[in-house]
Amino acid sequence: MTLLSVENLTVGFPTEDGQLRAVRGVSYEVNRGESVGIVGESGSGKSVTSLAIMGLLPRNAQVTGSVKLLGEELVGRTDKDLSQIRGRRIAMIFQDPLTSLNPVYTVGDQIAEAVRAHHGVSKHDALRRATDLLDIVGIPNPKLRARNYPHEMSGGMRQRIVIAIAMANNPDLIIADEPTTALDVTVQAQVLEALEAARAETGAALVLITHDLGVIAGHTDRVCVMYAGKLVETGTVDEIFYGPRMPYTLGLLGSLPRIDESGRQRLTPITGAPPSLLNLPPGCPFSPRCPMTRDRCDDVEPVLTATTGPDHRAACHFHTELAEAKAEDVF
Amino acid sequence: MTEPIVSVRNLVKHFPVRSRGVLRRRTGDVHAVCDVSFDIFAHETLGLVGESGCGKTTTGRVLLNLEPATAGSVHYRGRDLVPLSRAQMRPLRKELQIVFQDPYASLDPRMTVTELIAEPLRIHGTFHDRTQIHDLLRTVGLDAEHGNRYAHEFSGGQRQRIGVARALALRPKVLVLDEPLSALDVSVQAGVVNLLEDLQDELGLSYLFISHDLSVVRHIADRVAVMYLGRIVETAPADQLFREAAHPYTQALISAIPVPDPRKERTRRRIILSGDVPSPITPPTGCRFRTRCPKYATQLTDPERRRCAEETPTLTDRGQGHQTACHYAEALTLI
Ligand SMILES: Nc1ncnc2c1ncn2[C@@H]1O[C@H](COP(=O)(O)OP(=O)(O)OP(=O)(O)O)[C@@H](O)[C@H]1O
Ligand SMILES: Nc1ncnc2c1ncn2[C@@H]1O[C@H](COP(=O)(O)OP(=O)(O)OP(=O)(O)O)[C@@H](O)[C@H]1O
Ligand code: SF4
Ligand SMILES: [Mg+2]
Ligand SMILES: [Mg+2]
Repeated sequence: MTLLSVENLTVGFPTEDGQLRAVRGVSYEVNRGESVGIVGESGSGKSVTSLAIMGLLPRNAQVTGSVKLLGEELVGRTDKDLSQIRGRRIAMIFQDPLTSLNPVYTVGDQIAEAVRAHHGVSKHDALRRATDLLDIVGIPNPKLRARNYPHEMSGGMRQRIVIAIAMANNPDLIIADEPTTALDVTVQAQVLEALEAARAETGAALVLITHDLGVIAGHTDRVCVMYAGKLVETGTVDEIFYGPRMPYTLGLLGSLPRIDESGRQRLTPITGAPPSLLNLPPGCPFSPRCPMTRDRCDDVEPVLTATTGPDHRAACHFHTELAEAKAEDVF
Repeated sequence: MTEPIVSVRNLVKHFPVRSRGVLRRRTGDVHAVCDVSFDIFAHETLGLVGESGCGKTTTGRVLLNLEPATAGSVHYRGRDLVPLSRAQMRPLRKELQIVFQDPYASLDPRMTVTELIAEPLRIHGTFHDRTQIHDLLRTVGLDAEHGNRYAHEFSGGQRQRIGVARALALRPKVLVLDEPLSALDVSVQAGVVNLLEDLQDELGLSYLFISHDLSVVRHIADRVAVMYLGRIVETAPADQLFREAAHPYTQALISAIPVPDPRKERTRRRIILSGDVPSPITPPTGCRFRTRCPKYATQLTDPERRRCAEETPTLTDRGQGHQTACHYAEALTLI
């Protein structure tokens, strides 16, 4: 069943140099309980897309298109409406946990507060539930830790507090934007484990935004690859990793050093940088960096089309040529 | 066996912690680097890995004598650098260079690329003409005409190339690379990794490659040293370390690295550590890892645990250059 449906979402920002087209027609769906990963280079529009879904963009942002949560349209709603929906149905986890925590309350009180807002229980029961939630997200000595203030905790612990609060809210959807980017790997593993625990407990669907393809591989069912404000490939996690049909995706995978492979195989970098979103030329935005580019690529921007299956889609005129292709042969 | 080009022995670095207020009394020490020893050979890359705050940068800086050591020695081609003054270090600086993490902050925005690269040459009086600069730009994969532009006009990967060109200008023998990739997008990182590998092959450089990214380290390093809270807990040839890690910390680290391979990720064993890294001002007695060690927590008897708490494990040889500092080391294949 479709939980979230995003249709032809666009976001523009007026700037001194003209309109910056941060999101240029993004459509995707999230089903109940599933996990969708969004990957892409810095500046590709991952955060702006999810902020638009949540209605959290600055006022000068120009948003068009449609975002439906369980059939209910969110674009164009008042801030008051949206903040209610956010609290009730969608939880957002940002890279910096301090943006979501209140410095003057203990973490136990903050979790208990969320518990009480959703279940009419006594203060005492709410605090007990808060301690349970701290335990579920893997905080040692939860009873003691509940009395700490956010600044008394490490970054990884704070992020797990944010996840515990999200759990207390019992949301249908969790949107996590680079939740582990600033953290060390062993701490990242703790936080991802907490996120999985939260999903198991609440049955919430997850939109996981990250530039780490390893995290995507381990924690999502489907993947959207973003480039220059558009989705350029979507599919199941296996389709994307084992049979990419967009040169950018293939290049990204080929550029990764692997901890599970020995030796100095040459990596295949993608040369150049993503285009400016201010004056995008016509055609495929990846064309200037694409080793397969030809005239048609600079004339016509490719749209997402079905490749190996109806749900494995890629935005490349020549996607059929990528069947069985290896990054080192193409790049 | 050949002589190492750099030989670090029992290196210690403490930073004083002072009280607040006017007196600023010394109240303790940050034990940033503790009894660290390793060798770097010619034409070799030693990877130094570990989590934030474990002492990687400090080790690199003390090695280059940019920071005075509290104790220990750093022999470069047979000569101890630790007692040398700034003036005495100067002729050696050419041979020992560093590339920093942040390609945005480490380049002066008011200088053109040519000026940036010429600067170290001028300081050492070896600047002759512009062809030197053009050669260096070509070496790192940039064009000669890039020289007239300013650093902010370049992408992150290009700026990191400028940083490498600057470090190479003096024809160093040893390059300390402190997280040279972490500010870059993955598609761009790959180009810098390839460049570093090519330069090593062409110029016979030795690298101390500091990073918290174990995937990059496996790719680029010949040998790896793993640090935890100021100490090296395990060191081995790269492939051996990833195949048969024997220290519980290395094992947790390797198991935590996500692999971009969904089938492998679904079946992998993860070792999740509990708790946080303790303060380096009051590190745990005995083994510094014991407060987070899964083996200590779940597999040892009480007398065994007592040993972890009382006796500091030292690096012990397991053969083939593989050393582990754990009383109960046991190889585990995790990848
Ligand atoms: N408030 C704003 N005003 C103007 N431009 C903005 C604003 N917010 C974002 N942008 C621009 O929109 C584009 C997309 O930004 P976004 O933050 O979504 O990227 P991202 O994919 O999340 O990148 P990262 O991986 O670095 O987080 C960028 O070019 C960015 O500079
Ligand atoms: N100048 C200084 N004065 C006091 N303490 C310092 C100083 N420099 C480093 N430290 C401390 O020494 C310890 C080791 O720091 P270092 O920067 O070497 O770690 P690192 O492994 O490079 O970490 P990162 O991965 O975050 O760069 C840390 O606890 C740090 O706070
Ligand atoms: S010495 Fe003891 S505490 Fe330390 S790593 Fe080994 S088993 Fe764990
Ligand atoms: Mg972002
Ligand atoms: Mg450092």
